[in-house]
Amino acid sequence: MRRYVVERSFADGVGMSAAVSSAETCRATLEANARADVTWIHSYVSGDGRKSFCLYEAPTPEAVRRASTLNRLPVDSITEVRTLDPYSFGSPPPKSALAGAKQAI
Amino acid sequence: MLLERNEQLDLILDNLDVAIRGRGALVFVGGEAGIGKTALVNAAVAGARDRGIEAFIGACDPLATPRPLGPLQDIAYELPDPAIIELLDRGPARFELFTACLKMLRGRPRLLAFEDLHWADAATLDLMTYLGRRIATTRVVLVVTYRDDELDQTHPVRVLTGELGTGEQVFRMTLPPLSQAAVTTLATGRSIDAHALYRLTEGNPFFATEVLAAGTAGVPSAVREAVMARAARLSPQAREALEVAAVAPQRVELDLLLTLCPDSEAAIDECQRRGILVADGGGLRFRHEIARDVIEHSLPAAQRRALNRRVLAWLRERGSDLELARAVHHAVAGDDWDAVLEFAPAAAARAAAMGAHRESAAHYGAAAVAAEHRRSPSDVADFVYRQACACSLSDQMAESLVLFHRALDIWQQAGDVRRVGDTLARLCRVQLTIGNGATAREAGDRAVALLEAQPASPELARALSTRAGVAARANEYDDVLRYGRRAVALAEALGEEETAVHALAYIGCAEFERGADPDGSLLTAAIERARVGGLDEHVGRSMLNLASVQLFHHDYPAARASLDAGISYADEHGFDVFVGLMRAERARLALETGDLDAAADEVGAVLRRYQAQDTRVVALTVLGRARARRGDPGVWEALDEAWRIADGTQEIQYLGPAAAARLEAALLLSSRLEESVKAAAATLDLAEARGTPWQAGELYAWLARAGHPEPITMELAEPWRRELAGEPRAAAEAWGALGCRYEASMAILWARADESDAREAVDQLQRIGARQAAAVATRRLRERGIRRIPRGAQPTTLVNPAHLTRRELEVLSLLAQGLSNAEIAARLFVSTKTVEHHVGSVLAKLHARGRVGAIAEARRLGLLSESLSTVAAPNS
Repeated sequence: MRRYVVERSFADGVGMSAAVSSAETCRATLEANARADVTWIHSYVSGDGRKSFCLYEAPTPEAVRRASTLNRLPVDSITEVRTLDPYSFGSPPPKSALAGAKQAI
Repeated sequence: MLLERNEQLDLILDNLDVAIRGRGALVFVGGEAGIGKTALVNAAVAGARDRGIEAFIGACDPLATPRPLGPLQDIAYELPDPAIIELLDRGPARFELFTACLKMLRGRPRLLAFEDLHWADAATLDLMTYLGRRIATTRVVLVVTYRDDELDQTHPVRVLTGELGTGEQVFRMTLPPLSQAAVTTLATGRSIDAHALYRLTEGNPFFATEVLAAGTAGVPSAVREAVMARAARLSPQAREALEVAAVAPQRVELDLLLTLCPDSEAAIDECQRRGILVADGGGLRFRHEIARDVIEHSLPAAQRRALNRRVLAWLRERGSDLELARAVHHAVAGDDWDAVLEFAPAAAARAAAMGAHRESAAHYGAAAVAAEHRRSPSDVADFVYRQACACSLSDQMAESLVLFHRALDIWQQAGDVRRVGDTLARLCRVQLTIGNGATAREAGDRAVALLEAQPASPELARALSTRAGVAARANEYDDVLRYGRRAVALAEALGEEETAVHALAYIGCAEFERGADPDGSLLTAAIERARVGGLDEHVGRSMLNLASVQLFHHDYPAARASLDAGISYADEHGFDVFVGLMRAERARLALETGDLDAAADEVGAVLRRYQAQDTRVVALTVLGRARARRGDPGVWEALDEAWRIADGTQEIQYLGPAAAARLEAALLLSSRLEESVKAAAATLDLAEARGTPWQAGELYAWLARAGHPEPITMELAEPWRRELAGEPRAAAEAWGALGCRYEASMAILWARADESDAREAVDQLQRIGARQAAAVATRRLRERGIRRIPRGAQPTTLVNPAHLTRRELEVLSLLAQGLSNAEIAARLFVSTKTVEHHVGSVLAKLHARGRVGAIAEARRLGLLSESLSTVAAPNS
């Protein structure tokens, strides 16, 4: 399965909170995703809740759109992505790099 | 004992209560082997009978090649339904048969079950598609079981459940394994450790009950051992009866068992008492197919062969012609070549008559193998040839090519020039279908040359007609007429109606396309002649061609009507390849009229299901363009494959759109511009040579938009001509009149049009969801110094909460006024089929079961108040 990041905008700042406001709506969302053959992995939501970046596994961008339609979620853009992290470069990063990252947080 | 299946059973029985009132349902029950699908069906049958409702079960068999419409035959004979039985006996009346089934389903309320659909023949799957789409209008609950663990993504059953999955009153369930608690219940009072049993069987009820029934202290390590251990505890006579039953897939008649094992009544009783065999209709079957499989494969080869021959002898004595597929199965399993040659050709012809071409091919394949042992090489070649023809009708093109070449080799060695020529003509058609334009042309030319040197023959007429087809696809109109007219004259002289109709259809296409026959009356007449002659395949192909030419002329209302009619015709007659092509064309129509959602949805379904190259090239081009316009990823992936296929065909009908699409994508995405310009310029040369005014116009226009204008050397279609002549507004109006919203906007935006026109055009691109195109256009306008460009509505209002398209909102508001589909169709100038399609997707998007629910949900979401005021103004 491929991975896609979907950017969404919410004028009222509802973010993802609306989609997962209750166990019931969450279940309905996941069911609709399953119907469209899409798996929601997780999302990042901006502090004001007006923007979200959602990571999905899906066969095609059309499947992502279909799931969004079924769940009544707006779509700004869909980008196919692959994972890149400090471990993607063959060897674990030097300890100092991790320490630096920690300090930055 | 049925454990943990209440929810599933309730769904079936609740729907039975609804079905009585005229709203049927289709329930797909998936699950691994042994998970309890049959147990659920049996419980549902019992539940139905408790309610005083008739219930019937039909099953697909694990025969080497399944009986055509096996489950329907089971049910029709049990009912009995004389109308259906008669049609089944008669054979080729497939459409009448499907309609008769629908009529039966609309009659008395019933529970029907089709078991083991993963073994179904192609005709049964087609019947399921046909009935599934109409199930809500029946009074029947149709339960269909299938093993879902062995099906890959492209298995026909998976495609079927996917296609019907969103339909009205269609339900899909997967039976989960039993919980540990349920397994513990099963093991109550046994010496076996319930926890170990659960771990070993993973909650599979069949495994669990088999292991329990084997009763060994140490749990056997595999179900095979469980089954064998159980059989081992039978008396020798009972084991003998069980072995006989095991070579008969699915069901074994009591009479058959008693004939093969005389005086075995007590032994059969024993098998039943031990729960290994169960009564089923007039016979017996294994309680589970897994057990039969284990026993059958435990038999020594010689014994298995002997048993199969004895079953065959029994079938022969009984002499029912409905059992052909069964006879072939036992003849093959018994290595009885003479019997294979006796039954397989008839079984193949029968399967073909029912539209089960895949099964027909398999039967001819069996006949070919048998002929190698018993007959002359040219007899072998004849069966191989027939197998190849059946493959080409069931989307197995690679197999078909290999087989035709094999037949060709044999006939070449035998020096049979007529058959060599004829096979070359067939090869030519297959090569055309898989997109090898050059190879196809070569085969066609060789076929004509070889046969011309012989006395005039039907084969020559066919080869000429095929060669006309090669020319038609390359838009070489003069050649179409030249070869086509010779084919018609010869075919009519020889009384070969089918070939005459075939050639006439190509002539009609060519004349319609180049404008010599503006109404397409020649093509329509050819379709009518094919219909009168009962030449279903030609009717289907010509309906496809009619729609394609209408699309070529951008006559969208006519094309839409032709596609709707053509798809349902091809669907009902089992011409899968034509259905795929027409659905791809319908997606193209949606794209060209600015309905990106509909285009992308249809294309997704087409690409999942159909493998034919000419279907894929159209679908991939549409997909790439829809993605580019929306700004979705995967544009080049789709367009590169489309280009590869188009390049293989060397046909302008595919190369033109594919090249224009690449240039469009290059401009919208700012990538790969140079190579796209080059490809477009090269393709333009071909379009000029063929004189196709729309394709050439599109390429000229995109090259000009990319800053590489080419001198215009030919007459172009109106909107392109206007744009290239520097009249963007006239071009946009021409596009608007055709219904092409995207092209209308682009004509404005790529010219130096005035500001208010430009704003309106950007707005229109936003409305149809062409975000990327709107963004690029906006950037271009900013570069020209035009600043006040609408940013489009704010994100949450841009799309209504349910993401209905504008067309769907229109349909919804008319529904809310209580209009019928026919009235809505008349109001919107579209076909009733199209309205049904929109209503279906409105219901799906609103998660509503029916119209009333949809309207209520739309009100709740505030969709109706706003759309009613704008769309339904004339009425308020």
